[in-house]
Amino acid sequence: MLQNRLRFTPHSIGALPSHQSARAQKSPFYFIISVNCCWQSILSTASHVLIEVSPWVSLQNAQQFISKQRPDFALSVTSRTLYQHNIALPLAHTIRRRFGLNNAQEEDIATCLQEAIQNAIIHGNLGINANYHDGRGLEYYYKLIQRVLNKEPFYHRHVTICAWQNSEVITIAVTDQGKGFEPPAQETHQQLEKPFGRGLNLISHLCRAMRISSSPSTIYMDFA
Amino acid sequence: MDYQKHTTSNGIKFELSGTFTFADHQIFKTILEHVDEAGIHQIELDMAAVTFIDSAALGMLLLLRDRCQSTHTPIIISRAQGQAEKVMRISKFDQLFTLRS
Repeated sequence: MLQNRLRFTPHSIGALPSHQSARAQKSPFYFIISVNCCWQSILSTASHVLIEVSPWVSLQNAQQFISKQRPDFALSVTSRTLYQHNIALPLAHTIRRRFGLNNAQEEDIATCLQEAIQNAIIHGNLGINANYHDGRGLEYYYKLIQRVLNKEPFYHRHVTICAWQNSEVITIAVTDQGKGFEPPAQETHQQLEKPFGRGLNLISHLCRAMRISSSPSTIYMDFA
Repeated sequence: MDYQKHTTSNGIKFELSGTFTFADHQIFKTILEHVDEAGIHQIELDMAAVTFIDSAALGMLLLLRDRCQSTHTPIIISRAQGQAEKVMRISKFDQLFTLRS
């Protein structure tokens, strides 16, 4: 039934030997998907998902990152596909089921994933600032995103989401192919009234610990 | 996100439902346009049926706040619960809006 709906091809990509030996008890199972898909069905079936609508070279980059991190779960999708499909909620549900989490943890993970993925797409892969100040600016901002999303090389860039567990801590890493960034200074009342720049604040409140690295551009979020 | 617009004795009430995220900017733009209608004394956003909200949506609410301030129209956010209530609490929206449970 799934095959009829999605026209997907289960595909053993290979090139992940270190991961396969480290996690021999969980056979990695990959999908390459080139059509719109039902995310919940895909995510609940596969342990590792590579969504491919881009040249092979980008996919190889994603594979290299996944190999290095050795996650229990990995998903790599191009910015354009991710932007068109809000996957934070089904992804959080999948992570909850995979790691045996509760409702409240799933809710926090969904919120953090939503923020981290949007940051990775817009500010990371597309290199767009969040400076918009009124209704007209908002419209301009979203048109700019659409415009850049359809340009080379931006729409080929992947966002890779990995999750793994060490003892009681679940770590989720969201990696983009942008230049990385410096975390903003501490929140002031003036910033409180701005219509942008809240994502990292939400993440830092909802996860146990947050780390940012610039090479590759990654946000790591720990959940207890 | 979906919304229903109701005219009340005080102004306009919008009942929002579903997930309210970055993807809803077009829908929110139509809500923003109502603020400029003549004779609006108050705007209420009933968020009882909002199941998920993100920071981009919070930004849109702040744009609505700016628009309401320019027309001196009070704005009330009511009945937010669950994830939406938690996210607004973390973002200190109680300092920026009139929140009603």
